[in-house]
Amino acid sequence: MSDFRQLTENVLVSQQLALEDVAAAAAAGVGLIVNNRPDGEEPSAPQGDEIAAAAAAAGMNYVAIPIGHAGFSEPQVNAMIDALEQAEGPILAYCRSGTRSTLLWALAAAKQGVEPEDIVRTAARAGYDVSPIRAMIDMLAAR
Amino acid sequence: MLLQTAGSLVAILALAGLAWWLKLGGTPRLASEADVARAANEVEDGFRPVTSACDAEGASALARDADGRIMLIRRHGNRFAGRVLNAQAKAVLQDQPGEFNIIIDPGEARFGTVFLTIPSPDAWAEAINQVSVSHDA
Repeated sequence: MSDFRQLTENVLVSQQLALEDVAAAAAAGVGLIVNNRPDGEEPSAPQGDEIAAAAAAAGMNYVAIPIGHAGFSEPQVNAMIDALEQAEGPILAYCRSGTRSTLLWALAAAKQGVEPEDIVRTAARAGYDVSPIRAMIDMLAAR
Repeated sequence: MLLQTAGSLVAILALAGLAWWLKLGGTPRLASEADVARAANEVEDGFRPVTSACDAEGASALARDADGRIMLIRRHGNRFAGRVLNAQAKAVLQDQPGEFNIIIDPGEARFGTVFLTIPSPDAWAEAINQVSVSHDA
C-alpha cells in the first residue's frame, strides 16, 4: 500500500516502493522517481532497473542517486538539485524508510536557499527528523 | 590480423588477472579491525586505533586511538577517505532497524554525512559528541 509523504508541493518521499506503488505515483501526478537506495541493499525488494522500467511504462522519468552507508556529500546533493530543477512535475524520492531521501532533499533545499528552520519544520510535518544534519544544512544555506 | 587480435586479447586477460591477483578494482570493504587500522593509517600516517567499529555493510567505520581521537572513515569510490572528528562533529542515534543506527555529520560539507550500523552506537555517539576542541585536527 502506498505511503507517500508530502514534503513540499512538488516533493514526495516514500519507503521502498513496490511495483504497484509506481502506478500509484503516476496516478498522483509524479513526473520523476528518484531512487536513493543502492541496488542489493535488500535483494528481495524491487531493484532499480525494475522500478525504472515500471516508471517508464507509466510515463515517468527515473533517476538513481544511491546513498549507501558511505553516506553522501556534495555530488549527491548536486544530483538531487538537478533532479528537482529538471523534473517535469512532482518528484517521488524513496529509500528504505524515506529517511535518507528526506535528508538528501533537506541538503538540496538548503543549497537552493530555503531557510533551515523551514526545512526542519517541513521534514517534521512529514514525520522525519533532519536534526542529525542540521549543521550541514546551516552550512549550505549560508553559502 | 587474427594473430594480433588474439595477442591483444591475451594481454587484456593477463592484465585483468593481475588486477584480480593484486586485489585492485572492485568495491573495497572494511570488514575487520585490521582493515580499519590499515585505512586509518592511510588517512593519517601513524594513526593507530585501539578500538574500532565496522559498519555492517563495510562501507564506513569508526576508529579511536590511544589519545581519544576518533576518526570517521567512509568509502569514497574505490578507496577510503577519513577525518579525525573535531568539536563540529555531531552523532545522532537513529532507530532505523535494517537501515542504520547512527548518523555522523563531521561538520564538513565536502566530506559529507555518513550512516553506519555498528555495535554499541550509543557509546560511540556519546564519545563523538564529547570530542573537545583539544582534539580538533
